Amino acid sequence: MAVFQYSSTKHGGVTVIHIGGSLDAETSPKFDSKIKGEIDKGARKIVCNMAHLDYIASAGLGVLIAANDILSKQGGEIRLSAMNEKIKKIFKLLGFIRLFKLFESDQKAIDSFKGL
Amino acid sequence: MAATPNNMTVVLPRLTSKLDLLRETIVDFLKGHDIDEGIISRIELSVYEAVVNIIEHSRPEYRDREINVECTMRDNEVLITVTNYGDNFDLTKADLPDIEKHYKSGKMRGLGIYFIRTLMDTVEYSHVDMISTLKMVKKI
Repeated sequence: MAVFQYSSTKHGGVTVIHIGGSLDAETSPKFDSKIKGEIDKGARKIVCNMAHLDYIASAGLGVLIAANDILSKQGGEIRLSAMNEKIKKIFKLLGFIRLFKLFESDQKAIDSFKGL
Repeated sequence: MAATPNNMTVVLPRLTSKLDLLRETIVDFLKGHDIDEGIISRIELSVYEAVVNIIEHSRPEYRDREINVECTMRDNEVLITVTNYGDNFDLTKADLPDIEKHYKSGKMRGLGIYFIRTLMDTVEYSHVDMISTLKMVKKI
């Protein structure tokens, strides 16, 4: 059974979620439920820390795309932080590196929301 | 010490819960051949997407049919052959999404084939007597 970790914290008006382990067809429904739960509770500016994410399949990427779409219709966005090199290479190869906004750290991603 | 074999086959049921084991087995095999980690992760992901595609789109009456994944080392490439009993669906002929439009549309699904055809060097498909064979090659 694939392992997936999720936690979230509030930093002012920004929700920072940390995901780790494997984000695949088995675990993506759990991630989808968690992130939509954050949106239902009012989160609009979300930073997704991917430092401990070992694996992301199309199902996992789809959750990020769908959640970002919901947020963008409500004036919000998901921004990604601390992506490790393995995941970054896959994002580059697939072209998603230029679609999501990536930051080196949670703090830089949080700061980027100022004014939004 | 025995040499690492050049060929390995995994036979698995149509259950996504078994795909961790498939991934681990493929990665261990490729690491045994000193393949670059970036190449390994591309192959790992492509095999995963190919098998998930079979599982998610197969008819209920085929659910007891196993899927075969064969990994073969060749001179300067890795050949992955995924074989299963099922309907004809040639993913090499499917339209690929424009990822910018896909991203803007907010669609959760529909990227698996794009992953496979982007991450592997060549992808070939055949369907004979209800047996689908997907051959994916990655240069090393």
